[in-house]
Amino acid sequence: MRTVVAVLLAFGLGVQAQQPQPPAPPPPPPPPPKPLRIEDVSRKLARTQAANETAKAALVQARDFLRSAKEAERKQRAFVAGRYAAAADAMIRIAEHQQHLAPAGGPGRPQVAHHLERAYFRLQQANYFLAQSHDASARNLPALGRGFYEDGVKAFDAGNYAAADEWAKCVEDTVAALENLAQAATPVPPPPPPRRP
Amino acid sequence: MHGNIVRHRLVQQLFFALLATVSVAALSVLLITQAVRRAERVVVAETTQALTTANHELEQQYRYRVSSDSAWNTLPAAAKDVSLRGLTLTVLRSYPGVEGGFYQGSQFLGYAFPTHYRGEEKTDVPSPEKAEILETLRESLKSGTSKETLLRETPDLVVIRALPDRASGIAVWTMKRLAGQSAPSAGRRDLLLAGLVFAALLAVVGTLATAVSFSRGVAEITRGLEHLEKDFAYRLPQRRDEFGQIIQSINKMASVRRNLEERLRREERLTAIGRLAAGIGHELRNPLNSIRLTMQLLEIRLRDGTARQKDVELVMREVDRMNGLLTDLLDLQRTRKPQLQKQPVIPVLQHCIAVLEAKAGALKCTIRVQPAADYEAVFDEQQLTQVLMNLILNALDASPAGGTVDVELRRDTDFLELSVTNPGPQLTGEQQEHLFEAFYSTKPNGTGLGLAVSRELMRAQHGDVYYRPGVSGATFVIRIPTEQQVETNYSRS
Repeated sequence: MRTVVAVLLAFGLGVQAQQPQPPAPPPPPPPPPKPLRIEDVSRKLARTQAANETAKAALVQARDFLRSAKEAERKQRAFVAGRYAAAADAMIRIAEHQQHLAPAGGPGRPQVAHHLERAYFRLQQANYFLAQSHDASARNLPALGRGFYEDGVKAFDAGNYAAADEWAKCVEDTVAALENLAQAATPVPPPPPPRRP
Repeated sequence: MHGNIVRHRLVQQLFFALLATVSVAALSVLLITQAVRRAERVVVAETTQALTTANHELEQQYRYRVSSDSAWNTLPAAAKDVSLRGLTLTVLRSYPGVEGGFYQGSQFLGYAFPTHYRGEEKTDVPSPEKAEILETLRESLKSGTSKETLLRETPDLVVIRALPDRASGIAVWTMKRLAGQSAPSAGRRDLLLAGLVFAALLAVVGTLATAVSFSRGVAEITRGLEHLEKDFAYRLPQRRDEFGQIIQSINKMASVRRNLEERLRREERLTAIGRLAAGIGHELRNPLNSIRLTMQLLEIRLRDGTARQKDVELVMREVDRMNGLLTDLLDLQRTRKPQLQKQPVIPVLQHCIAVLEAKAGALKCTIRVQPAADYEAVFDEQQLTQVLMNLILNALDASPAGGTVDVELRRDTDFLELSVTNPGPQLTGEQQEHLFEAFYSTKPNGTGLGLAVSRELMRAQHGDVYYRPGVSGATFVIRIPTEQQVETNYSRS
């Protein structure tokens, strides 16, 4: 009798063990990125120190873009203002990269080679984005990006992989600035419909 | 009429030649095209491979682009479009002829065709294939796997390939147009092939028919010309083709030649008659003059009573002479059919020698007969005797005193040859040419009919009489057939 009970208990426990677990709840969606605010970029620009002439030029360009962002904001063209702010942010990042060109640590040779390859791929889009931006103030950026890439290749050939990686980032940020400008030139999307109370 | 036929035939031949050339060329093109079509699968496979690689590269760059931009999802479609177009332009620049982009939320994004052959920027999804691209993309997103569509847009072949990314709900697509790669349908190809084969067969049959027609025409003309050589009255049968013109010309030429020969014969006959009349006149005038003179003399003598028997005899002799002349003329025109018999020749020869031996003696000449077998031949005994006596008499007349006339009999295949040779001078070329003409004589008192009559008599017996030039003297030969000859309508010249 005890044996039967034991078997039944064991069977019951086994069955219970084989029952599927309820599915885990899906992970919460990532929080939407905070919209880039002009004030934040202005503060960042004010904080950033130019480490060299390149950084100085990048910050000058960032200032121009920030001015355009403020102008767009004043005209209540939020999307355009946001894109210009993003472009200015990209230029500030270039200035920041100039501070990390010293050969210390950083990624290894294969990673930097891959990074440079990606930078080259992005660089090929520079002229297209410039054409789409219709912004004359950005016309020097493709050449600037090409200069960064050449510096990156030189640093890579010299074994200064950390610097090469920073130059690659500069290339990407230059093209990112141009891309933002091109996006700013696209038709402004219609405002979202008003929410029902 | 004939000109039209020739032109028609030439046009026909040109047509067949052209048809044959076109057929062969078209067949060659078709065969080459079919060979190319067989390679279609290879081309499509290569294109598919290229599109697959391009799709993966686009997807990879897209992922990198999105991951490196935290604000990507907040961007409006137009901003995404411009960013992705830059990406597509860069990626597809390495794929000639390939266009493509992205698809998300029922929207095409980032379309680009960087190697567009016109060199101009192309920003719109190709409308002819838009439905098929959409269909491919939807199927791909639905199934979660790569999809491919093959479009046959004559004459192009279009390959579309889509790669989905279900996580992001975006799909990558690329498309390549293979110009001139679309094969015609099997039915149309078979119809074309059948037509070409028919045209080729028609050309071959036409060429053969032309060749046969030409060959027959040439053979007919050759046969006709051979016939014409034997009988100039023959006319080649008419044809209704280009050979008809040649045949007409040949028949015309034959008619002209026949008329010319007819005229020539008539003129020759007239000339002969004229010469004959002149000869007769000349031969009759001499005895007539002689008779007139004798009769005038006889008239005087009758008045004087001194008429002589001799004068009458002289008249009689001249009359006999005229009678003999007329007899010879009659012999020349006599149409008596020779009585041909196969018989020995020697008895005839012996008879003639016996008759003429006295005359030879009077002329102090000798007749020498070479010994010979007693050959038999087919001849008229009386006429052969006349001919042989004529030749021996001529030989005796031509022989100088003390000369010897040689008579020889010998066999020459189907003929016996009886030659009579005198030791006199040889005949000149001109004499030989006119020797057998009537009234041509080398003797002062000759009538010029003996040899002409002799030849006529022997030819009527299928034999002949001719002059044989030799080293010395003059030799005349009688040719007598040894066997009976087929009778023919021998016409006297």
